[in-house]
Amino acid sequence: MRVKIVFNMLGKLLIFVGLTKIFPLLVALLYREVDVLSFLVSLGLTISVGQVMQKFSYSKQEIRHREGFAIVTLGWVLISIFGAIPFMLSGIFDNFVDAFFESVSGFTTTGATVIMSLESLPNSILFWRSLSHWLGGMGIIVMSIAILPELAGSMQLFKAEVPGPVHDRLRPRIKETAKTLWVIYLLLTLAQIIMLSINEVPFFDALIHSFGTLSTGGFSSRTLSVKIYDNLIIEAIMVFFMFLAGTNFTLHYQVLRGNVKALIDNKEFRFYVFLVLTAITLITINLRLQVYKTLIESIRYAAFQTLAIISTAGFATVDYDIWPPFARGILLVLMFIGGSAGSTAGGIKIIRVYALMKKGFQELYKLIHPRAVTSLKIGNRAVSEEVSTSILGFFFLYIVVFVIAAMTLTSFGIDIVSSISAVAATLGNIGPGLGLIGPLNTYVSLPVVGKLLLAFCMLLGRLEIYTVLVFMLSGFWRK
Amino acid sequence: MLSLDINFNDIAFGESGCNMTDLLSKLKTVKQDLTSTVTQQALIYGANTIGFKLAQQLTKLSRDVVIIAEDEQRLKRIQEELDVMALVGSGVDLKTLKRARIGKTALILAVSENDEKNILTSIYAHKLGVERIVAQVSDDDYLNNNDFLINTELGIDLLINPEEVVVEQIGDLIRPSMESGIESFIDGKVQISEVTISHRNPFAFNKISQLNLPRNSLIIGVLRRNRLFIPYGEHKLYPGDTIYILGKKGFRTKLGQLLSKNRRKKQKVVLAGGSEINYRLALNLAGKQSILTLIEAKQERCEELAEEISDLLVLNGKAINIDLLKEEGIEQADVFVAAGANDEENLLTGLAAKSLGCKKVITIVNSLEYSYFSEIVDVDTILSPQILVLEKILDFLHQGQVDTETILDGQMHLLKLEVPDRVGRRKLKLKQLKHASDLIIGVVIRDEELIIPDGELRLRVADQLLVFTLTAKNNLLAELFGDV
Repeated sequence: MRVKIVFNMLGKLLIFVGLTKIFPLLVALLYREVDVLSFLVSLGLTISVGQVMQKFSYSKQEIRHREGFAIVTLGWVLISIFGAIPFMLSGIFDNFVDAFFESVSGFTTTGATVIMSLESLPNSILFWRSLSHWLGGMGIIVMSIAILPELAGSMQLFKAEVPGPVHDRLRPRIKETAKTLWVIYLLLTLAQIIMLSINEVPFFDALIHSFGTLSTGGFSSRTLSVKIYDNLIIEAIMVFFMFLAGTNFTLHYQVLRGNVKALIDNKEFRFYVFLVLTAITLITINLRLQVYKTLIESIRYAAFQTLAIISTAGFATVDYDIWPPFARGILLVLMFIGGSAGSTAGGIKIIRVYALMKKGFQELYKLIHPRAVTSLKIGNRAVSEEVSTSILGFFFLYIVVFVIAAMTLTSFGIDIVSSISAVAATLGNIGPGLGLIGPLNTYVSLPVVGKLLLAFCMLLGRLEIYTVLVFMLSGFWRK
Repeated sequence: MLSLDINFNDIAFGESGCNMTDLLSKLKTVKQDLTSTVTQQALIYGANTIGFKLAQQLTKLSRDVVIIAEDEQRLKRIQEELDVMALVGSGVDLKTLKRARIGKTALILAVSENDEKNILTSIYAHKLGVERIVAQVSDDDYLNNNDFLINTELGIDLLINPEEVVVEQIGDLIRPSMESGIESFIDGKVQISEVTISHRNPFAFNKISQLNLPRNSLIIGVLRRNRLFIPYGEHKLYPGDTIYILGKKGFRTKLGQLLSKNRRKKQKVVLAGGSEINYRLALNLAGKQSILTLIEAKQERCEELAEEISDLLVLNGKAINIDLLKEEGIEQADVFVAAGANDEENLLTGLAAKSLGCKKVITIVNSLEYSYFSEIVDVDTILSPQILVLEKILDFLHQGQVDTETILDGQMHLLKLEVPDRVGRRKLKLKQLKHASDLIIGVVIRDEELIIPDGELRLRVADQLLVFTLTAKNNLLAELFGDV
């Protein structure tokens, strides 16, 4: 490990994150809030720590795999810690663990909160929560690659942060690819802000909700979240953009370039649409029969909740915790699946689930035809043995982490449904779960160790397990 | 450090001012970003060492690079090390070419192992509108020197053959102590030649000012004990020095005449191995003031060679056999070329020949790893076809670009600047300019005309100067014209 270059890069990242605090600072100034001070202090602190780190670790070493993993993992932890400072300074939390939890939840686009009532919060804090979503959604490191010339060629960093088993390049250069991704992201966000504003959502709320949707985070500016508007059109807009956020950004790029056929040909997208439609249909039937009186109402809630969970945004228009077990069961399954690779969504990712399914069927086929030579294909592209093994490994580790974390939670005396859904919701970067941490509740009641564990799960989920776990292996540190 | 800060602030403030005009201009750039053409894109077909090295160089020149190759493993390795887009596929597959955005490609380098595919890729690329095309072929038959067919009809700007490049290079190394024009600028109108001064050289022990150089040429550097310096008139030249002479196109023949006056003696050349390279070398050298001997282990190949080339002594035996080498008088040989099929054997025979007293030993290695052995293995020159091909292609790519370049392996910087009007009006002589001894004015460009100046030349308004410096300089204008 080349420690110097790692620290140098971390310093740069901190300066970068420090500068993003200018935005909530401006919001605080705009609304004339006292929190100007807390943002000013934390901005100064973050930048100076970053400067010091950078200054004392100047190095011309190059970034290899190990350094890439280290920079990304440590970078996210550091960013979360420094992101928590404004919460502490504003006096929203009385302990640092809660502030850290909120901050991690923000940057990893989980949207799990430990704040009971959002209405009492100053606007600048609300804005900072959502901005952290938005920055973390596409990836702070991806953004730095696009902007900082020093990071221009670091495929290692890019790979370690962008979700998905294989990484498509939109442009020959990684910097251009990162830029293109951010531009698409920005465009979609602007589109949603405009559409929400047209439909009479206050501009500030539109901003917050758009940040929460496109990043698939789920922080709202209201305690009741989107439910407060009780407006079909607004919900439809949210559903549409949640769907987009769960789609591979490579496809957005291709559609924007006029290649609509790529969208239809893409197996992952088709499977995504299939999953969404199936889930909506099943939940609608279940709800119509057991909860709501009209079909429209059932579809409305089913569609919103399905998209909110599968895109891992985690918004809620209804307390789905009171829904019948079947509907809740489907939502729990969707928590594991998550969105498409290369989107801002979390979870295992649809392409992996699809590949695993195919692999499973292939094994069955091989039992009947022992001499068959088969190749795993998604669409027309063959999935190499290496990638498919890595997918199997990923799935295994995801489940192992899930089981261990859920068991640990139950050891604190938390009931099994809450434990399972809490881990699924944090590991998949969704936010609200079932039971104790259902859509109307918060994570505030969990013990401190539980919160730290779940914060760790969020990081694991956001960085797709491998990046963080490899960092904790002993072999990683060997010279 | 400070500059980085400012940079950051700019970015941040630029984004924070999110008013409508900003938004519009942002949208505009966004649109440009999404639809603009990638003019600088270069496409490389082949993920071998040459492909890799070319990609590395091109990314350093900040061009967008796409590599196409059939070998997925190698592509993966390349992608991990370089910032390039890698596509699995064949260069002759139109679908793959489309995916690589051939329409936006300005340069294609077909350097895969397969000659036919390289040529076909180049033809496709030409038809699809790629401007500059370079292809590598190994088979001799493709190079019938039919420039019209290759350049005009097929659109291949540079057809490069590794063996031929090696033979050329060896030819340059063997012939009179003058070497090839190693660098050329301004579309080849100006060249630098490298001359190594030997005892018999007419230049040896002379002051530079006394040298009888052809008109319009200038010594811009002397390499002595691996250190490069810029000489002035009082410097003497000693045997072992390498001098770099700048001159206009065509001056090399004059220089050659000047240098080869005393070299009428025939050279004894021993070629080890009956490879393609040695075969061609023998063809080139046969009858040209050299006595040729070729050693080859295989009987049939020996017979073939003997049949095809007259004036060549073909020996059937192993080149590594020291008795054989001694028997044939290796200690009197001027040049020994080890170009068998096996790298290790070439290195060993080269070493043996050197220790037996051969004057100049050239060893050919195919593997890139061995090409760095020249420090360890005591032979005069280690040549790698791949590196030569790479250099040749890079030379081709550099043609015509002058601004802030480096030459002579980065030891010398090249800067172009204009004479300020206030200086030009005074019609100063070049020698009146005061400057450090680490720079020299190599070329004066005056209305399309190139002048290789001496101290007496008077500067005029609108002259452009091509300055060679040993260190990179930012304030060259101030240094040159500051106190006049």
